[in-house]
Amino acid sequence: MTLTRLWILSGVVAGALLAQPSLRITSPADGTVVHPGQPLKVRVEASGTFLQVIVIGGGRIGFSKPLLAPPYEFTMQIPDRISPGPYPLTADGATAPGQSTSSETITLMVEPADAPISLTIRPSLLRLSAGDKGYLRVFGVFPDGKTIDLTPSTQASFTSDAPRIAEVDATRGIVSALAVGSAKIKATYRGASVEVPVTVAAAKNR
Amino acid sequence: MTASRVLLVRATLVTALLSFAGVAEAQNLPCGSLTYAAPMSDPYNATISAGISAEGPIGTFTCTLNIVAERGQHYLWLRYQELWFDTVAGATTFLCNATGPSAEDCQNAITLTITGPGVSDTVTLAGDGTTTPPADGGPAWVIIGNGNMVGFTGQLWGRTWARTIDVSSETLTSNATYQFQAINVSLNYTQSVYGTFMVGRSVQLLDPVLELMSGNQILTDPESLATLGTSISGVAADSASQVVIRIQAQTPGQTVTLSLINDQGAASSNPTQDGTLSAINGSRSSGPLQLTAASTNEGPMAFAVYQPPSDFSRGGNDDTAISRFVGVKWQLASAQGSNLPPITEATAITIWRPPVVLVHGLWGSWNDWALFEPFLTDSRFFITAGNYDIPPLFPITASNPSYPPQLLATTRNSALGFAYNAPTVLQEIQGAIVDFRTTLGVAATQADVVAHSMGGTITRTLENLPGFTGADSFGVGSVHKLITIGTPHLGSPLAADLLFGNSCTAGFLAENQNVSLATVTIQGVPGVSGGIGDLQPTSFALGQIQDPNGHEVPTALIAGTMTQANLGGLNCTLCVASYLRSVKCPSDFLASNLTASGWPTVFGGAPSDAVVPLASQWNGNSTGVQDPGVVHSSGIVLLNFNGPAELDPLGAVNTIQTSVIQLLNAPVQGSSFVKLP
Repeated sequence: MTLTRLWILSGVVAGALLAQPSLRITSPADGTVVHPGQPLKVRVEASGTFLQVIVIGGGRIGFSKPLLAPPYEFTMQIPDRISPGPYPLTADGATAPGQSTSSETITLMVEPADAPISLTIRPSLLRLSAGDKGYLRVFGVFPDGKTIDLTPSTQASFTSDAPRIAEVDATRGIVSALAVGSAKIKATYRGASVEVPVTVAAAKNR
Repeated sequence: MTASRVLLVRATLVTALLSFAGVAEAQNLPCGSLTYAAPMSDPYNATISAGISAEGPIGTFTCTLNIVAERGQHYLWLRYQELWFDTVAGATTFLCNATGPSAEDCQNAITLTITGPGVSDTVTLAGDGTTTPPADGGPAWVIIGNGNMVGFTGQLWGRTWARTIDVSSETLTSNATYQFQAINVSLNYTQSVYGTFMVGRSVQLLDPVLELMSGNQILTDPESLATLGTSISGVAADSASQVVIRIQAQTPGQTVTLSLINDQGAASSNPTQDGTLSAINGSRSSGPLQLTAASTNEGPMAFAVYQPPSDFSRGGNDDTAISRFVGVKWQLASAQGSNLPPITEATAITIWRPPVVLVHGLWGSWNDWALFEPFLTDSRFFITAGNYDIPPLFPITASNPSYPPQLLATTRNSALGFAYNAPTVLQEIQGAIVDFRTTLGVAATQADVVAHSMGGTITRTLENLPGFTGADSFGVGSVHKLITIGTPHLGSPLAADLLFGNSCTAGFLAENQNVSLATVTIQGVPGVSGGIGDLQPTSFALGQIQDPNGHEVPTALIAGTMTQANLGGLNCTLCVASYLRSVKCPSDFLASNLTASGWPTVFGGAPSDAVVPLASQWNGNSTGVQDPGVVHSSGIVLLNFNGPAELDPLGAVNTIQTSVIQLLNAPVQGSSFVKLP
């Protein structure tokens, strides 16, 4: 094998490596806030040749229709009845049957378009024993009369007025009962807030 | 506010009335009616003695007595009318709605409203019935106190009047009985209203949970019973709840007799429909129940327990009702040395349906029920959509099969197994019961659970949790009845397929946040079951819920089954199904069978809802409800199956909500419900 042929072969290998097909979501940007019912245009940049490309949304956002060729511009719809919170969005494409690749995942933040009229929290009273954990859910009552669980939203937050008795995870509403006593947990969402009493009893015999 | 309990109307007519009619109506309560037609000749004397209701109307109401007097050539006067009733801090109003020839006939009516009193309160007596001072100069309204009566004695003029008696300086005791009389006098007629009232509330309905309990039992010491508990007005028809009835007596040792009255005003003889009475922690019966008042620092009191029936609906109108009621009537025997008559009173206990908690399935969330209309907004039901689609308490650090760390970091509990999620589901159920209690002011210990898919198997594991049979359910358990929809009681072959030999398909679904997990490692603990792992037909978790001792929770099974119409969408081209089948995962068994003809072979040709075989949805029994033409979930519709899905809106094809409502109305001891093995 001559040097020339070796050089050509290595060039082919390197070229193949460099030309490994890839996908990248160029729009929307990572962290984009979207609203239920909103149409969503997704643009995917492809490097290499794909048989088909599809966009996969998390949960109810679901799938786009596959496209056979560029430009890979997809129109999707954020469902009306979707829970607030972060949702992944990934592009997936196959270069040959059974040979596929995925893009980096971006995250969409689904939030109600309107601010809630009021907040409620469940349960309305949280009774725990020391050492236990409990979950709180904060709900928004919206102008159209709907009640929506806002707990998964990245804009919902929780604080405790007595964290030595009942500590709360600031973003997830998970309450850790630490010591006997009572506390108030405050949930906040877009400027509105609501409180729930938490009582902590002595640890159970385990 | 309470009102008159037993109301007797006695009228002596010395008049030439051509007709006398009384009609009493109030808020669907049997005030009863009385009619009388006077004879046309002298002496025109008649006596009417009629109970407004034999057992007494129950609840807050206004009875209207219509008096119709027809005059001929002579003046016709209602000469004497006496209304006698017992009341407690309530209001009884008689209004004259004269349809006779003259408004003057309305002079024959007295309206008397009593408000208050508390021990340091005021009593307000208000009257209506006289238009002007009589021309003859005689007295009009007079309020006379006698016996124990306190306050004003004198006369007042005018059509309407009110006199508030400030009793704050009086030595009223909290359980004494006082009398009053209001008289309307003229030359031609005299009316009077007599009554007695007892200071303070004579009865309270209390939820004993948890303040008035020790373990699973209600406390028995009188001082606790006299002071603790949460005041309520109703109870859920779950059979397990207990309502403490606290009755203020007059003297210690006084005999108090309780009995149940059904909503027809008759003595109850049907505990299945009306519930039961018992002494505290005593045996249940329809009554009557005799108690002896105990001495407490709050005064003499007697205590009993009411337990509701196990079913809200007795069929018929109950199926569409929001609430119904029973009455508890009690009689305080005449106190020793008293010349007062025995006091007979009754109060209503409103019976509600138990709260309904919806439990979603694998990879789902509370929002899976968002389209379950119109059930979701059906005012008959207090509905809470439970949720275990939450982040794990601690991060998932590894999984089998393995997935990228960034995907595991966002994996939620709804992808994990029965045991991991059961405590959260139990908390959701018990939290919903607390919300129900506080929102409606009722006693309730159990919920009706409607569960979809894996939500049903999780709910079946609750009975194994120590908190399930806690004191807040009197040790019975927090679930009144369970209705499962599309639940894989015996697993699904899809679960095993997703874990073995279909990694491409599983990976694709994972990008849609549907992560197929056999086990995960959380907080350094490996082997925590994943949802898909538990749903394999041979899983340990499924074996655990097939309890050889049997389950206590009555369960009804609703199954969806797909038809060819549901499969038609799979033969699409340039769609999600074709992408999976032909482009992305052509070597996978599942993906390659994502066609109208191929998918049934995944289940060996057995009927299924495209995810769960019918036999599994029925737990191997043949006693469930089947709704053909629906697929398992909206998630599978995203893969180009044609809907409707099981939790989609009520429609011509999807009638699952109709089945759910029928089962919520059906008796737990009926043939629709079974106790699963």
